[in-house]
Amino acid sequence: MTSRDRCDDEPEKGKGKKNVTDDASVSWRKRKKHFFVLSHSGKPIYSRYGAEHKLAGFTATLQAIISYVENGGDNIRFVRAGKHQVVFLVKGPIYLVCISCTEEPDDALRGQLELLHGQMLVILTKSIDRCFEKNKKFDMTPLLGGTEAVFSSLIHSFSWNPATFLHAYTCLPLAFSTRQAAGAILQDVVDSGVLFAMLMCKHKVVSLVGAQKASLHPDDMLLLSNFILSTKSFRTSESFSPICLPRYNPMAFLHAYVHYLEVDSYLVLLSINSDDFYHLKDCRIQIESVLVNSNVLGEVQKSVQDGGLHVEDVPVDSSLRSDSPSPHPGQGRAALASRIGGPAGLWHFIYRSINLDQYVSSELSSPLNSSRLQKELYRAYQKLYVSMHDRQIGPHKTQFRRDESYVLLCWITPDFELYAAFDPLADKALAIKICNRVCQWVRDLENEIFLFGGSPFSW
Amino acid sequence: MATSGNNSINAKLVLLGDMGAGKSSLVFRFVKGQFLEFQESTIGAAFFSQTLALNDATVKFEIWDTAGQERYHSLAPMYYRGAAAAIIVYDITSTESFERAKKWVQELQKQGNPNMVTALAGNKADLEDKRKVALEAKNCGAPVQEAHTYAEENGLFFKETSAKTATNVNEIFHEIAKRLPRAQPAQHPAGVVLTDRAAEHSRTSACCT
Amino acid sequence: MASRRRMLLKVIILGDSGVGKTSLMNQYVNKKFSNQYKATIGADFLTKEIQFEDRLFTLQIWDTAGQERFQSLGVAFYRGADCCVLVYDVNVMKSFENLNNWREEFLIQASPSDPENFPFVVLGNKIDIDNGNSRVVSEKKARAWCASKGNIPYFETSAKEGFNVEAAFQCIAKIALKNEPEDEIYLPDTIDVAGNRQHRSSSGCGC
Repeated sequence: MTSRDRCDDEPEKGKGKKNVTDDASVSWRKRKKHFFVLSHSGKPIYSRYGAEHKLAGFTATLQAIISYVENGGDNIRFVRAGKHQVVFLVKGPIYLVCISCTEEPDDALRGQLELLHGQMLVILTKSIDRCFEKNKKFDMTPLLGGTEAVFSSLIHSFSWNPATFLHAYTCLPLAFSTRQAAGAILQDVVDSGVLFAMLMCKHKVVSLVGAQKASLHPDDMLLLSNFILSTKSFRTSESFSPICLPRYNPMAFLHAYVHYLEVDSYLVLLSINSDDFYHLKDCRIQIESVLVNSNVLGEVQKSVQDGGLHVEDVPVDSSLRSDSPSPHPGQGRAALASRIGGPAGLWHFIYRSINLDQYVSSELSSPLNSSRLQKELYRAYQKLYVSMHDRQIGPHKTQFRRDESYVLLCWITPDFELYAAFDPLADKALAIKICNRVCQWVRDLENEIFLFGGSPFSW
Repeated sequence: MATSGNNSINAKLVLLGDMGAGKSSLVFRFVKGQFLEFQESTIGAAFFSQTLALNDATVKFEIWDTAGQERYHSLAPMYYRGAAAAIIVYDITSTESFERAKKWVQELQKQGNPNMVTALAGNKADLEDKRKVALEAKNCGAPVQEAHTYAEENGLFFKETSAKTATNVNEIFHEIAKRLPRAQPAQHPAGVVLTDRAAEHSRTSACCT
Repeated sequence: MASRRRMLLKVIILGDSGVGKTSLMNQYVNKKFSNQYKATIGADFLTKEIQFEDRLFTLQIWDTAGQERFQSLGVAFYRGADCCVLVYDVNVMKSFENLNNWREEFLIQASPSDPENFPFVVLGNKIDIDNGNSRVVSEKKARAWCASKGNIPYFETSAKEGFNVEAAFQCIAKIALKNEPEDEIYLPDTIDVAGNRQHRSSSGCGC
C-alpha cells in the first residue's frame, strides 16, 4: 500500500504542535493513538503527541502502574478501558506504551511497540541500557535530538505499510536482467569489503547484497529505510552516518554511506569501519556508472510510473470475466457489482513468499481510492493476519470472511500466504478461484517481482 | 591534511558546533549559494566538495558538515582527524552554543592536528536584536561573552557570519584557503589506507565533485 | 528566555498521611482537577515547571501515599529520584519523629550513589492552625534535626502561606544545578575491524 494521503494519524508537521499540549488538554486526550516511551524511573523520553516534559506526571503514572503489577510478581501486558486499549512493553530500562482506540489487535500494537524500540536502537544502539544501569536518573531525551521525523514517520507507517506486521520486505518490479545487473555491481562492491549494499526506491528494494554469512532481517530493513527516507539531510549530498541494525548486532554502530541517485532512489552501503567513507564513495561512483550505463535507473523510473501489479490484469479465462454472460444464476449480481476492480470483484491482494521473506501487494485503486478506505482495509488485513497466526488456537490454513465492507480471503501454506479483499457481494466460489489465479500469476511473474539469489536470511 | 600538486590544494575541512548553530546553512550558502529558513537537522555528517580559486592557488575543499547532536560526539575525531581546517560555529543569540564552541576549541587543541587552520564563526549575525554573545568585553557588572577576545587568545581567526544574508560566508572560507600551508607533500586523505586503491582515488577525485 | 536545556527533576514527597502533602502540592501546582490514584497505586503525580536563574526545570512530583501497603513499591517509585521532600505537621509530634524513618527508608529503597549528599528538603506544614497555638514542634527543634542530617534545607508553610513551598522548590532546583553532572560522551560499542568481535567501551558511556 502506498497511501500517504492526509488521514487521521498523519504526522503533524514541525515541533510547534509540541509547545502547548499536556495531558489536561482535551485535544490531546482525544487523539486516537498515543505512543509513549519512558525510562524505568518514569521520566518521559518520547511522546507522539504533546511536549514530553509536560507529560512527566502522565509518564510517572504509567511507570507506577507497571511497577505496581511487577511488585505483585506479575507483568502487565495490556489493559482494556472502554474504547481504549493500553498495551505495555518493557525492554530493560525502557518502557513503551501504546494507548489506542483504533481497535487493532493487542498483538499488533505490541509488534508496533517492538518496532518503535527497534527504531531507537537504530539511532543509539542497545548500549544505551548501560547508561541507565550506571545512572538511574539518566535522561535519554537529548540523545534523540533531531529525530522527531523518524519516529512520526514510523508510526505513520503502521497504518499503511504491510511490512510492519508481515515482517517481510517488498521489491520494485523489474525485469530479471535489470535487477541482475544491479545485483552484480553491488556484489562487486560487497566483495571489496562492504557489509551490505542496498539499492532502494522509496521503501521498495531494487537490489540488495550482503557479505557472506551476513543476513539482513526485514525488520532491520524497514527501520533502516524509514530512518533514511525520513531524514531530509540525507538528500542534500553524500552522507555518512552511524546506524545500528538491531537484529544484526544491537550493541554496536555500523557506518552507513547514503547517496540519492534520483529523487526517490538511493544507495546505502554499510561498513563496520568508521573510516571507510572514501572507499564507499568510490564504490558509489562505480555503482552509479554501471547503473547509468545499463539503464537500471531508467528502468526503475519506468517501473515507478507503471506502478506495480494491478488487479485488473489478473489473467483469467473468459468464463470468469465480469462482462461476459455468466452461466450460473446468482452470479449475475456479483458480476454486476464488480464492474470496477479485478475479476469476480477482486479489489486488492497481498502475496507473501515465506521462503524469500518478501511480499508483493497490488496497487490500490478504485474503489479503494480514499486514504480512509485504504487504512480500513489495511487494518482488516492486520486483524486477519493476527487471527491466522494466533498461537493459542492457530495456526490456521484458510479463512473466508464477509461483512458489509469486504469479502476477505486468507490462505496460508508452508510456502506462501495470500490475503485478498473482494467486493462484499462477491461470490465465494469465484473468489476462491480467483485467489488461485492470483497465486499462479504471482508465480509466473516471480522473476520480476521478487529478489532471488540474495544472501539467505537466517536469524 | 592539505595536499597539493602544481597550484592546487586539497583540504579537508570540518564544521563543528552545537545543533542549531547553523553549520549546514553555512555550508549550503557556500556550496550552493542558497539559504533555507527551515534547515533540517543533520544526521551523521554530510560531505560536500567545493573549489575556490585564489591568486596563487586553487583550493578544493572537502567539507564535512557534522551533526551537532550529543550522540555523535564520540565519532567527532573521525571527522576532524587529519583535517587541514576547521570552522567552529556558534549562534550569537545563544550563550550555550558559545560555551559549546569553546569546548570544541579545547578538544581540537588537545587532539586535533596542531597545524590546523581554525576559524570561529559567530553565526546568525543578522539577528542583532537577539544577540547574547558580545564581541568585546564590556565594563558592566554582568558577565559578558567576549568572542573576539576569546578567539584572539586562542589563535583562532574570527568572523561573525550570516548564512541568511551571506555576510562573511565566502570570506571565512577564503581566509581559510589563504592560510592553508602551500607545497605540502602529497598524502593520502585521512582514512584511506588501502594502498592498491591510492592510484584509483587520485584519478577519481579529479573528475568528480 | 533560558537558553540552556531544560532539566527534568523527579521529586518524591514523603510524610505521614494527614500532614497535608496533597493539599500543599495541589495548591502549588494549581491543578484544575486532582488525580485520585493514591488509594489504588500509592501515589499521585504532578508536573510543575519552574525557572531558576536562567534555567528551566520540569518537576515530576510523586506525591506518595503514607500507607504501609505501598511500602514495597518504594524501590520502583524512588528509582532515579533527584530529590526528596519530607513533610510533617508542626502540630503533630509523631509526624516529626517519623521523618527519620521516612528518610532512612527512602535511602534504603532508592539507594542513591551518594547517600550522604542526597538532596532532601523538609517542610513543616500547618503553622497557621489555631494561630500557632497548637504547635508542638518548635522551629528550633526542627532546624536542629535538619542540621544534624547534613544541613537539610528547612521551610515552614501553611495553606495560606504557600509561597514557602515555592521557595522550597527553588531550593531544589538550586541544589540540582549545583549537582549537575558534566556532560559525558555517549560511547556505544564498536565492532572490531579485524575479527568482527565486539569491543565494549571501557570508559564510561554518557550517563
